[in-house]
Amino acid sequence: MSLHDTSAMDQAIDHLLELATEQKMDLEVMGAQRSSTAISFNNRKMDQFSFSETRSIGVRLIAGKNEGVAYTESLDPDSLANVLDEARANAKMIRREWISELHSPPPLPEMAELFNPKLDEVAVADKIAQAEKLESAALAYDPRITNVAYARYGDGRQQMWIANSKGLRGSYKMNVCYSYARCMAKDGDNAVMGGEYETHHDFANLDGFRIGQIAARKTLERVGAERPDTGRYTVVFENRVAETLIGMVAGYFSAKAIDDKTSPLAGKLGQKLFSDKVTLTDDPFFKHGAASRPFDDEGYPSQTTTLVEGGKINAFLTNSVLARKLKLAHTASADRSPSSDLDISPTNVIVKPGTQDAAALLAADAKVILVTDILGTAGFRGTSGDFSIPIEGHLYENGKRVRPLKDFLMSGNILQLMAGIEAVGNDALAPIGNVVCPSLLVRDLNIAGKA
Amino acid sequence: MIVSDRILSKVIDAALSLGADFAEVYVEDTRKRQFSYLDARPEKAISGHTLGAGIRLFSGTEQLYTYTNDISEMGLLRAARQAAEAMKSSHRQKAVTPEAFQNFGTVTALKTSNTDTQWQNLKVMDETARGFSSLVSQVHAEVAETFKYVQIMNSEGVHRQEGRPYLNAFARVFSEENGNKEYGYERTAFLGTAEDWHKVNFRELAQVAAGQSLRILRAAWAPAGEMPVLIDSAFGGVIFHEACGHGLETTAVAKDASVFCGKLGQKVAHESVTAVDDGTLLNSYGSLEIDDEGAPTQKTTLIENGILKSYIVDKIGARKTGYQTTGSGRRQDYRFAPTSRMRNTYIAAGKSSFDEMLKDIDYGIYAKSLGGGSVMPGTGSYNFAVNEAFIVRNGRIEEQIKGASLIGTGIETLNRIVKVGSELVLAPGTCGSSSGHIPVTVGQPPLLVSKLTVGGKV
Repeated sequence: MSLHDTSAMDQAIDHLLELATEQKMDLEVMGAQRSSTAISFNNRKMDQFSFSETRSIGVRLIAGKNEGVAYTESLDPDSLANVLDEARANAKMIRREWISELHSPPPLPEMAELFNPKLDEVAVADKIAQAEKLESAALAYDPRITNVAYARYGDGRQQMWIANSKGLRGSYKMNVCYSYARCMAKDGDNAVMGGEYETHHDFANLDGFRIGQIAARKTLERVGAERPDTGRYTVVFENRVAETLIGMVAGYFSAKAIDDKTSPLAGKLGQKLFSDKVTLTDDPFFKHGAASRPFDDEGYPSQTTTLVEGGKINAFLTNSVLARKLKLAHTASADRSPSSDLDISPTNVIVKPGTQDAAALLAADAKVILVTDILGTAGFRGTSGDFSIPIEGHLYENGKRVRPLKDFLMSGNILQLMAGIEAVGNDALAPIGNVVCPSLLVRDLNIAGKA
Repeated sequence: MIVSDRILSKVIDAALSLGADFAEVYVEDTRKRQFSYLDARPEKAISGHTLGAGIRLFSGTEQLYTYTNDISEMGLLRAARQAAEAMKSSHRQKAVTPEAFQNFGTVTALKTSNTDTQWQNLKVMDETARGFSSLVSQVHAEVAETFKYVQIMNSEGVHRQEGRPYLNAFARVFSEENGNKEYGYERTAFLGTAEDWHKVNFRELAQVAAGQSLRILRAAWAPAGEMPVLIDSAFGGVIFHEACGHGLETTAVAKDASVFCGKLGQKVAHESVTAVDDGTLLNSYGSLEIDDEGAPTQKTTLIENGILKSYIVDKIGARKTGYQTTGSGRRQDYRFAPTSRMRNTYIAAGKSSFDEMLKDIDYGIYAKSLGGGSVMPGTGSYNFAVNEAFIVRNGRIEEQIKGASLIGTGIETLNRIVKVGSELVLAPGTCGSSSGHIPVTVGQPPLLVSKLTVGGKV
């Protein structure tokens, strides 16, 4: 296998489809081929260099109401024959309440902008220089930066295939590069950390020097952090943190979670559960969104879906099976990988921006906590929406930054928080993942800190 | 054996040809079968085959890693040459002498138990949970059998292989009342083959998950602020895993990104605390015979009576810090270069009784069952979720509460562990870090922390 050679995957898919025809099976095949580079620097030396090429292929076999899944990372004929045998054996055990239909559409749409051929041609030396710059820029920024715990450049290229025994066949490829720096500084006997992460589709836009400097600045802003008093506060969630909060509710819109009775939105279509300031869209076409794609994982052309309109639950996300079962609109939101069964996932989740900038939100009350980081989401219970999670940030008084805050938690319920959003900012950043959201203002949030 | 000695030796030679001072090949062949139950019926049956290799080179403390799932002679040699090309300085060490090292044999095919038994076990979990209460609204149960076979050869003469069979089962039970939804979760995982399923009490697994689900459903919010916390045994050990364990890994220590840097031989914890990371426990989820660098596993005392005795050291960490490796190089699969990771990590039994510790609390929390957590080793700030907890007043356990996470910083918390109970219990978990998700266990006896910040409501 070499980096750009996809003939082995095409042959494997052909072979599986031939076997399916011979054996008169309904079969869906999904393939993935990935390559990546990652380079990290520490202590002004290259610390790690890695590169990879991997591929996997998975089948979903449908026999009436029965369905089975199997996958392999080996594309030789024996492994492929074996994967079909395993899927057939698995299908004997799984009987659905419905018959899944394989999609046989006209030719699949393309989305050429997901792949930048120039990114494929970047010289290794330039990638190494990028990682080196992340660290050296951070160290040069201020002598108080003691070390750069993470200075990493990486890129990845991925090609996906979907095909089925009804004649569907499509493929698309995408690539991306990223840089990440996380620095440390002394703060008395303690240490503080801060970082910056960016992803781009054009290597020329990745500025390691600037990212290193931002990471250093954010680290130094944390020096002198104190623990806030326990109480209720007005809070602004900085854009990147707001993205995490929206990510926590995105899965609620899956018709699979509705059907499984695990989503708190079950039975609440049309109800106004979010603040009227919130409009939320699932947009698989969003420029440079991490989840942009021309078609879904059943091969249906992508489409945009408004999930929340002015606070009202407008739609749930469906694949072809659950759209039929639950009598909902089909949103082409099928999600699967070679190694998993058919499911549903949001693509890019986009919050419609408001009119105020972050400064205006921070001046909304005499005392405001700006939340800049979430330190872990283990304390989020998805089924109820209850959360108790550790955060970091800054205290603002009358719109002015007063001091950094550390060692505290926020608690509440994510749907109540969504209902209580008082303002949506206009400061959304270019995506680093699949959620795009400006800063959000919320009042009366429980904060646990001192005493 | 997945790849022949002859080919692996050629790969090592090719990898060293342009000057690296160490080369290693890791080959993996993993088979997995997964069965799940949802909505009172079979939901999923998935079979999988993972097959690939990782080639690693060192030049001093610089590490190069490449992985592929083309494990043909040509594919491996091409990967090795590309890796060699990317690395500069040079010298070759010893010749490779193969050495067999295996505990579970060389079976590469997963021998799945009779699938009827699996569905029966899943049905038992489903029916037990649904029979537990009419408030139970959904049950998701899963069993999985994995057989991972690894083969490791390096330029220092190591050539070892090991088969690692894993069994996993969980029940997630949802309940609903007056529009509120909650869930409870219980899991078991250990080293074992299909013949070992009889060790699992599926009924009890479902009962524990169902009981937890209903208790959380009816619990009130936890209070907010700082207070004493009595943390129960078993998965309670996640506190040590997060507060201290990750900070002892040389991945963080070598970069001076841990609060435990330079503290070897110093007092970092209350004298009641002795902590161990042990890869040798029989059939424990984090146990192995060899680590993922081919080194025999060890029992490593990390902290003895409050004094820091050892870090958790992998091969590159040993090069960077000068400490001896502790057989702690681990990785999720061939996609990851190994790094220093925990195995079965626990706080050793102390002398206090549960009641004695309870009596020390005027107002605080008894944390009965814990969820996951995380840590920033550089600052020592850690957090973990509490699934089930109770208010303690005047030494008595009173009303149930929910929704609390606990936070603290590493060394401060270790010094606030003022009493350690006498009954050590371990529990399996999955630990995620730079070399992926790996099986571990955590554990401890019940212990009393004099002050932690509880994230509840005002």
